Amino acid sequence: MLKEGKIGVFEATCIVSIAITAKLFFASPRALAEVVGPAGRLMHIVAIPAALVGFLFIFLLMKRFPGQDLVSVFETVFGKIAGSLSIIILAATFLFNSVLFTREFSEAIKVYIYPFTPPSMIMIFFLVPVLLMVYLGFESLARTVASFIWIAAIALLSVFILAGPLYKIYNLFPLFDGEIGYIAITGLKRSSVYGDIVFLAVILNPLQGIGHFKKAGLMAVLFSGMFIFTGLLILGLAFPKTVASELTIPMLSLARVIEFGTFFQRFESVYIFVWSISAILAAGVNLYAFTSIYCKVFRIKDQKPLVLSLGVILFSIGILMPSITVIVSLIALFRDFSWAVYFGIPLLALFFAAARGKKGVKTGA
Amino acid sequence: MAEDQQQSFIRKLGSIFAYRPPEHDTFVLTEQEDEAAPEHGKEAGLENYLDQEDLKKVADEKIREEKEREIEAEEEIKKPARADILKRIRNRKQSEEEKRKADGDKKNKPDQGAKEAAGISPDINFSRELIKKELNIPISIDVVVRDFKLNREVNAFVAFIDGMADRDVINNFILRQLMNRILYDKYDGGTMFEYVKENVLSVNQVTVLTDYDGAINQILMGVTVLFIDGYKKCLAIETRGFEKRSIEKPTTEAVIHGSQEAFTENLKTSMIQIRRIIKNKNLINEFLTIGSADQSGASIMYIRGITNPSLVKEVKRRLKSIKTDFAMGDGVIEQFIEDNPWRILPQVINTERPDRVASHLMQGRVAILSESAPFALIVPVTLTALIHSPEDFNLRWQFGTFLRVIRACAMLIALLLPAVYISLINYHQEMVPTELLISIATSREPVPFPSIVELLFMEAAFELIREAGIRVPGVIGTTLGIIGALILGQAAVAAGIVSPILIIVVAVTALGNFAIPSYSLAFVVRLARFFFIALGASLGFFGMSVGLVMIAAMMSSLKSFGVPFLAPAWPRTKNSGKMILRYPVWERETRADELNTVDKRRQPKISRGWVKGEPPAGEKE
Repeated sequence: MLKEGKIGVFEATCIVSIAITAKLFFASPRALAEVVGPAGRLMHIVAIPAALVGFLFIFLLMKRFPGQDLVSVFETVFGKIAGSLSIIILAATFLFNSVLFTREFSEAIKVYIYPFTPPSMIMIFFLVPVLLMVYLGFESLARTVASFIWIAAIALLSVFILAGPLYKIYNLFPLFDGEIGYIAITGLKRSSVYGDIVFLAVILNPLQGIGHFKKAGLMAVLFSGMFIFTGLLILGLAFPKTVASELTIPMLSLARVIEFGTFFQRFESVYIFVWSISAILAAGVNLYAFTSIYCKVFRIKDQKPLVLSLGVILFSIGILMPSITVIVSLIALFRDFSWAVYFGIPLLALFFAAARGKKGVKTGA
Repeated sequence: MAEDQQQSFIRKLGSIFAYRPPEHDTFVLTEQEDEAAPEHGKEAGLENYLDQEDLKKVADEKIREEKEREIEAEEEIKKPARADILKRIRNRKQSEEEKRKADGDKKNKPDQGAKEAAGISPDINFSRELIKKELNIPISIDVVVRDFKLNREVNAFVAFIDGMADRDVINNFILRQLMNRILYDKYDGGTMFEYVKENVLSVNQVTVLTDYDGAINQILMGVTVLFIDGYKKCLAIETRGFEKRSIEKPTTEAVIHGSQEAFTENLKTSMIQIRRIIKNKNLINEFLTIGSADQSGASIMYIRGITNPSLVKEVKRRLKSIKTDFAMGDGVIEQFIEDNPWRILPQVINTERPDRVASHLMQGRVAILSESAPFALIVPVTLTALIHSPEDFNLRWQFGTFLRVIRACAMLIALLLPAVYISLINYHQEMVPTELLISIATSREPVPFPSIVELLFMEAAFELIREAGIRVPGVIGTTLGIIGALILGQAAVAAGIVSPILIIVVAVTALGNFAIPSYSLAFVVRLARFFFIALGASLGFFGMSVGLVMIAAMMSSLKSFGVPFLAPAWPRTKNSGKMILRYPVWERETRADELNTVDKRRQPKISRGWVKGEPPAGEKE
């Protein structure tokens, strides 16, 4: 059994929130501006309830099997082989998300700050803390994330406030850029942004119970949803659609144009700390999710010997992507369809469990 | 061939990464149930704090006392011929040793250098020969064995080490008394041993010993041991009186507002300094020896009824398990008992201040004092405990909080400022306002080196000055530190080796480092700074972010005696806000939650009783 320690609701909320919110710091807002224009925030009004419904299904599934984590639930519901295969699909999704974070960050930082540095070097530097966190274990990862969450939140809020003079109400119009139906469908698909919530089901045992799971999940979706909504609203206010869809990293561009007198300008470099740390933590969370599932499926007691191999795999997959254009299109594809894995497979498991009448045994009653 | 080498390199790399420290069960500081928590005034059972070994010792002590009583009842002790006793004891030791080896049972092996307790012979000649042989007389010239007769009849001798024992006490209160016939006037022919102990010796502390090992250990500690012919025991008379340094001001933890005394190298004095502050009957002081060759003394102090018994047992377990020949000073003991020696972060608090030790003891921690070291070790340690200074609590809460904020900023400056400078200069010039950038560029114009070289040069120079300042004796050392830095900085700028702004950066960094109250933590910051400089020089702020996450991850995973290093911040506890904010003293109602103390409450909810009362009649507004 993998030793994962114990964490509280706050740490669990932080873990999922950082994995979700970090997406705001990179190319996703640009892609969104391209698809729905300034209505990105409205799209999230659909995506958040959709994610909550998805979470409700996961919660019902986990409630049906008290004291069991998602790996164990899948094995009980689908049988050992099918269960393992389905959970490995989920694990692969986490791994791929981690790869996307790594490569997206490397490309983004290359574009803005280090134009002459090869992406491989940035990736290696990026992977060192990611692998270290996975090596040190889940408890340490959770506490590290929780240590930085305040800094990330304060930095993000400061960007929102300092960019105040740049806001133009008329940038928000047309309010519904395109059909409402199209925005709603995109919103449903984009609920995959909140798909990291499934991770909580994987770490149910360190989370100490279904009550904490429910609380952490709800708080994470609402907290990160609020931040993403505000972020998109701010970006919509600051940049018109045509400009926003041309920016590689809109949030960094927003930080760049903040200006107060001759001294306080071009402070985007300070925010590099926040972008970098958030991306490292998000990649770490996703990689740990993969590691945790892998160890549980194959009954590996210690994740430490896997870390180096994982690093090599992550680096190799990341470096395979030829250019930022490919990465951006892959991310768009991933955001549109990963909900099927994040929410679809647990939903399927719930149906199977209900149809077969499978239930867990209540312990400690 | 090259492929083989490559594979071997990869295998080695893999093995390094997959390295895990030797497996051992991790200690968990269990929470004490409320029912076990004694109310104020009630006593917590001492047996909770004793491990199996201690409990066995207590039982053995009881048996020994009973036996002694039986012996005392005997009026005369037969004196069998013991010409070959020494030979027999040696033979017995040898045969038992061989038997153990044959069994091959590791658990039954005696500790390295631990001597088997041999009962004292009633034959004084045998005892004298044995003591002389064990203490290498006459080769060792400082060991004294003095023969005399009690009441002109009974043979006796005292053994002590000249210089360790106080001559005045031996001459005036032991030998003069023992050889004074008048004092034996009332001797009625009973047990001479008891008579001497109760009526002749006028020394405050006299202990009965029944084995040679104990007697020899006591002699080595400066105690005088008296052997009397015909008795299977001896008397250890407290005569410790070696030269020692007097109590002085703290040198590494100086404060303006607060106690101005530090520990000395003398263990007893250090223990007394703590006792003088905590006048509590439940302050327990246990003594044990570490090291087989020097038998260094160490004292464990804790407060019964406050400290978690599991913590005390764990500290004792770790100390007792040390198998080495020489463990002098707190630094060596620290390295033997810390949880994870591979981590750079300190896992034990070192302090030279008795008031700091007392404060931590009252919080529920355990203090370890060792001989020949003017420092105490305190466990478990948290980052909060390392960045807090005794001065915080002596000042009013507003001032204390301000100092803590300053200190936190100082730590960040000491850790990151040079790395920020190098990152700005190399990668993020756009962030620097144009006028400042021009100023920096102009000052750097005559410097032929890249900024990383000049930064490393100045850092190295500063480290040299600091190290040399410590080694140079007296006032010259301090002067060298100040003047050296000034002259070197000025000369380096004049020579065009470094830019003036870099001097400011290095100086402010050094000031930040000196503001850290813990020497161990300051050392960690000193070393980690170079790591951040390397990261900043390689990849600017992104590189520094990598370093920050790594340091945070390391700190998050670290535990000291079962307590997370980042507590009370992570994991969150009721006292999380107290990491930086210094709450008013009347708000400090509970002890640190992470220590799982037996008695969690420091003071009642309303500690300032007068706020509920009324001023005397006629003196009310």
